[in-house]
Amino acid sequence: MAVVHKAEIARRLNLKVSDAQSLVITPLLQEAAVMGVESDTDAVDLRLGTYFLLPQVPPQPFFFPSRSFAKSTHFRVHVPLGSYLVVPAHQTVLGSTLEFLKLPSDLSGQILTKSSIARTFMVIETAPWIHPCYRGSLTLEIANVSNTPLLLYPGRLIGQLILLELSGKRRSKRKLSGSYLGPVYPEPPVFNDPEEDLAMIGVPKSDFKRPGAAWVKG
Amino acid sequence: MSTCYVKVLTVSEARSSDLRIETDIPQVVGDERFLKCFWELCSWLIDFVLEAKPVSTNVIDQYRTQSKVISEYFRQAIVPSTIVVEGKREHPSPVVLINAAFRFYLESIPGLIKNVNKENPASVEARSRFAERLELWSLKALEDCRLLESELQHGGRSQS
Repeated sequence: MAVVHKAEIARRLNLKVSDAQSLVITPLLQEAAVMGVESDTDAVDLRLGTYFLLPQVPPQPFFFPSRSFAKSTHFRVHVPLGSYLVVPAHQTVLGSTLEFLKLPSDLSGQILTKSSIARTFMVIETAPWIHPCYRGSLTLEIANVSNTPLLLYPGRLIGQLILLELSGKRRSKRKLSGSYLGPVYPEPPVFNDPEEDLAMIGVPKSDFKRPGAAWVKG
Repeated sequence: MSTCYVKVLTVSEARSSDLRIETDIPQVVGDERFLKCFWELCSWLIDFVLEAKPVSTNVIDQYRTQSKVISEYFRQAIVPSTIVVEGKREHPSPVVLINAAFRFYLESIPGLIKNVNKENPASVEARSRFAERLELWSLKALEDCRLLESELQHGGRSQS
């Protein structure tokens, strides 16, 4: 697996969208700067988007990863360009990239925190891998792991996209799929109910413990 | 222009006891009257719009060259704020985007749904869900257009 060179990134950006090798990154503001035309980097810098999902304190003293619970734990806010969002120390927020991406079928990607951002102890991504054919803005799991509140300004550069060529046989054209097809804002997690997931590996539903239930059968 | 609305309503009527489509006009007569009314409205509306806000021929030319490409972006679930036409990246204007998106909404949502794994183009629920997605992609494209335009005016990007 090799990192894709910026000349190849530029070539793919100009391919027709029906070409499986085409790459879309839009809007590409300050293109020369974010593509690193005057530097040696083979990454594309990405900006912070204007929508956020702020975590709410759940009514129960825990988070239960189920179909209905996951969607009720965040609320959406819009922070226009020029304004900022305060992330208190040791707090988290879901954001997204300003750019919408479409990856080719033969490349995967990885998003990394920009080094200058990382040095403020802000982590932007805990699920950094981007699958081939992915399309959408990237949801960022932003965490302020410092001891100081930090300000987020939408529109500023926050991450770096690295593209990696897949080795082996190229994938044939497939239909679109995925739990998060074409998101343009950060989206809450999508879960099945845990008893359904566990039933698929043979755990009887009668053995499943819901939160709050007794741990030992009486 | 083809539209799926009549088909969707017919399917909905068959599946839902809440939705009723009632008319005492025989369908053949109804279709004829509907089309006559539509064309009369169209000819009035075109004159009215041209009078109220003259449309630049440049935008019409852009629509002709870009609408099919924009449609392909939507079919592939991609925000069309940057499109590639004949090997060159372009940014469609808001007028072109809105018209192309609405045309896609009327004509081509089943094509998008067919392109997605495990989705049924005949499902009214899927159509509603993807219509919502289409609206999000269109709004995102319009927001991007505003940013690109602003960068062009104030940020020094050269027009390609």
